[in-house]
Amino acid sequence: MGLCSTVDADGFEDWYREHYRRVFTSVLVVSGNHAATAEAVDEAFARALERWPRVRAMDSPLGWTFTVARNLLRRGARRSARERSVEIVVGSVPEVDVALWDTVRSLPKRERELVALRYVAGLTEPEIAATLGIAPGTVARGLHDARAHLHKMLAPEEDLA
Amino acid sequence: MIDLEDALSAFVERAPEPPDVTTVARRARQRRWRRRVAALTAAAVVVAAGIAGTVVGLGSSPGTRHVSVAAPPVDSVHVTLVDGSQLDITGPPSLGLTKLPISFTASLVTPYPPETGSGHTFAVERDAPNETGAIVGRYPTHDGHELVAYTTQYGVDAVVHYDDWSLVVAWSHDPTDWAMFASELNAKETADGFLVVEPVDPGWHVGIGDGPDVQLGGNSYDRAATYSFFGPHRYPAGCPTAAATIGQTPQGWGVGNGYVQSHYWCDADAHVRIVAWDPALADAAEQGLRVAYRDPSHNVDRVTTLNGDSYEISAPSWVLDQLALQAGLSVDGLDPAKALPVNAQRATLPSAATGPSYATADGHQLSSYVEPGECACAELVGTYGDWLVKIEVDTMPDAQLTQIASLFAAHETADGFLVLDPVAPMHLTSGGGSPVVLDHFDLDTLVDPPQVIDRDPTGHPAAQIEVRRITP
Repeated sequence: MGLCSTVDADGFEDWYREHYRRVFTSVLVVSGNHAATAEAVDEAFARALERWPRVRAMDSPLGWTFTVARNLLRRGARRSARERSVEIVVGSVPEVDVALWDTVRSLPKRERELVALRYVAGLTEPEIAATLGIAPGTVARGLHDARAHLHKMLAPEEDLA
Repeated sequence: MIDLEDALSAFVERAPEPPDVTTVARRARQRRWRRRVAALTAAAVVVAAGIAGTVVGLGSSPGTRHVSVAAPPVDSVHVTLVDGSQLDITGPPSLGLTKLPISFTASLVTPYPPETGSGHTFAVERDAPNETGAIVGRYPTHDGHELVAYTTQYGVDAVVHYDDWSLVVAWSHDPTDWAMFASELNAKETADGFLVVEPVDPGWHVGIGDGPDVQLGGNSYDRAATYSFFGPHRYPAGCPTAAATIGQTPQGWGVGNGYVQSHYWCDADAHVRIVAWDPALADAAEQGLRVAYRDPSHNVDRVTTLNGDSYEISAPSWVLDQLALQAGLSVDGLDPAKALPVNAQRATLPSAATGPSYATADGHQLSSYVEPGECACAELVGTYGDWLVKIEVDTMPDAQLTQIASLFAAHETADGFLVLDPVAPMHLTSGGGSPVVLDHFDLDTLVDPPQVIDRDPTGHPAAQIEVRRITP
């Protein structure tokens, strides 16, 4: 029996193994909630497998999976907000990187999302524009702003690549 | 020199290993089963229909065909979709169109959160099974029926029985949503005998579901169907790419080879994607199956943005139901010097906006507020007539918030929109995002003519939206 007996899962497993940690980290950068990220990312990959023939044909399957996980988190966060404040648990961030992590997490939400997709998920600017549904120019401007903010906060005397 | 990609890759390396892929497959199977469990009975019908179709195909040998000079007979199926749009499906009788059961998939989409909404997929079918497990809740629907939630082997489903149709909601992550779903559910049977859902409150709308918009044969997503139709809300997502094209329809539209030997193509006139699941019928369907689509409603609205520009937008009404306007403000000399995103929507002040308040230049008050949930964005919020204004300020000292508020001003136009009147050294700037945010779409006004950008990578009918810049 194949991966999922009712779908054509050809190529899914390799793609999943290659991209799981990138998607996980990208979503964690945006959400900051380790447990919720794990649940959302696992669910997003299950949905990707369920629709694999369609997802595989997309310009950016990784971007689609990120978007699904982010939307699941938003719904979860909205429900959580009705009941209690959202627990923020970073988890698994090595001590040496805490400064960088905190700095990225302190960026405005949109810039954080752009940094996650560009530098963690490795999407191109056109792919990010398609994923977030914004203009390529907006992506470029946002990344420029994010780099400027990180530059100021992290290494005032250095340039960011 | 800090290489961001390099620096951030350390986090990727320390991310947890992916769970075994079999757990992903199990989760995917569970999801599919939850949707399909209600469809098992009809699946048997479809298998029978498939066999019948094969028999028809085998029987159509050249030697037994009749030669006729009359116009070939055409079967026609006219359906009204759940959102009120209409699809005419025509084809030769050999396709069996009129003999197949019809079912629909759609979703009831909430207006929360404002930018994206959140939908519950449901199916509308003639022959849904009765409740098979223990009943865990009964919720009155707005249309006077009852949503009955019951346990299944895989969770909880719910069903509403109408005269000729059943509406089945296959599972919800959050059981508390049942009551909300039911209270918005306002369905009626149309004169032509179909079920149309019209949500009650503004902002709610019928959106795309987890399956095809219309299906002939079966009532679940793939193998059970003979033909699936995905309407313009998704076009051109899912159309065959050049690499996946194995042939062409007589109209020149590329045909792709899908899984389980299905064939699929997009009708570029109707903006409808068609999947023919039965290999025995696929070739004939490519040759003779045609569709025509009519949108339920189109509204034309004039929108004035926060900087005073005006646009005429023609779009399905649900797209225009949710309108947000955005702009950027900057203050010369403010540290850090960056654009402050401003968002305005027709909404009321959040009850939790009880932080310190600051006077604006035009005598209004802006309150300090933190968006709940994942964003946790710090904002100044206030109302101008029907409009709720939010200025993202991140973390700023009180003196800066006071300064920002003191330079902020706005007025409502005669046609009911909000225009910002910042006082120097505050001024409008780019960086606030798309000036017009619609349901699922952004408007890029930096280009001329303005461009409609689909925010959802699964695709929506951007082609149905027209925008025209109005020159004062």
